[in-house]
Amino acid sequence: MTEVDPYKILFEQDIKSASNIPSVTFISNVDDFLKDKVIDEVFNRLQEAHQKYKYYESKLTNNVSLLTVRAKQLQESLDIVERVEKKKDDTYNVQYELSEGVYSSAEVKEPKSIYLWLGANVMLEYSFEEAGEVLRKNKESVDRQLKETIQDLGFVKDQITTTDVNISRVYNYDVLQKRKQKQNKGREEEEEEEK
Amino acid sequence: MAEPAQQQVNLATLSLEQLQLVREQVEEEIQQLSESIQQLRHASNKYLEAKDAMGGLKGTEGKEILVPLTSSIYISGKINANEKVLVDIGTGYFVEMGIDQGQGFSTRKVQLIQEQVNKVQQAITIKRQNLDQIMQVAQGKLALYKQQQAQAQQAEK
Repeated sequence: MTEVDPYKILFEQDIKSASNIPSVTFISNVDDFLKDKVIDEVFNRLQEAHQKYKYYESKLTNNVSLLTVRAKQLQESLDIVERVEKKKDDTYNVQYELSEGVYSSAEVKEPKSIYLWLGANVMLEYSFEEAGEVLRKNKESVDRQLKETIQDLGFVKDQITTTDVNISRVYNYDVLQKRKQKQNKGREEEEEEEK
Repeated sequence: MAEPAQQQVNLATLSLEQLQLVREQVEEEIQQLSESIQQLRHASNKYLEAKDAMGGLKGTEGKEILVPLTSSIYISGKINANEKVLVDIGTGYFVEMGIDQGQGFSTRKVQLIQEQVNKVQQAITIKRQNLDQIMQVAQGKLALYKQQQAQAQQAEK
């Protein structure tokens, strides 16, 4: 099974969002863009969008770590099932955790089935092949979710950068405008005094 | 116990803002000590649980159980205790001992923790006393300040 590194997508151009996160357009010409808009309103909208993207980013980063942990656990469970299956005609002793810090011994004799805890107070008995199947299916689902979440994360990071650039360009334009207005005002007052 | 006396002298010479800072510091220390007590109680509970679990093992030789291999995988097996358990005594060491000895170990741990809890409790009481002193001095200063202001206003009239 060729494992593609799900993080590779972060280095590609033009990542698309795997789920429906809105994208933001880059303001190429600030003057045109601001012609029919009030600059404070534009500013507020951009800041809002920035905050939303930041929130998305933290949520997605959380999910990535959760999913990575879960994928690792599923892989370990899969390995354990395979090992137990190999020894299914043996009789051996197991030291199991009776309570935290206390272990007790038990004898396992020619096991034919194992029990999987599926959550929500549900436990099922499976044969070794079936248990392997269930765990493999779960792992595939987790892997897929991880891939999509990483893709979304890359997309959101792009949007944050674009929004940042937009904000600074609008802000600089605004500063420039205000300075021009001041200069013009200063010149007008000078002309008035000369008269 | 020169500490409280020392602080008394210092407190009187501090301004209101400085008293506020000292008060916040002491409150933070109390908070941290309370958290320590909680953690100690938590650890103590774990040892109590372990003790009960060991007690439950007595007389169960040969009984069938579901043996946990991980937190979500179990396998059918028979108890093979010989009435002996493996106990984690810390720093990565495990000792095989009889159930009674294991229970004795847990009891001693619980006692140890209880002693620590008592010590921390004492420290908290002392800190609370300090806090009361600070509040008293602060209130005294505030009353004095108000009095001075009232006098100043009267002088202006």
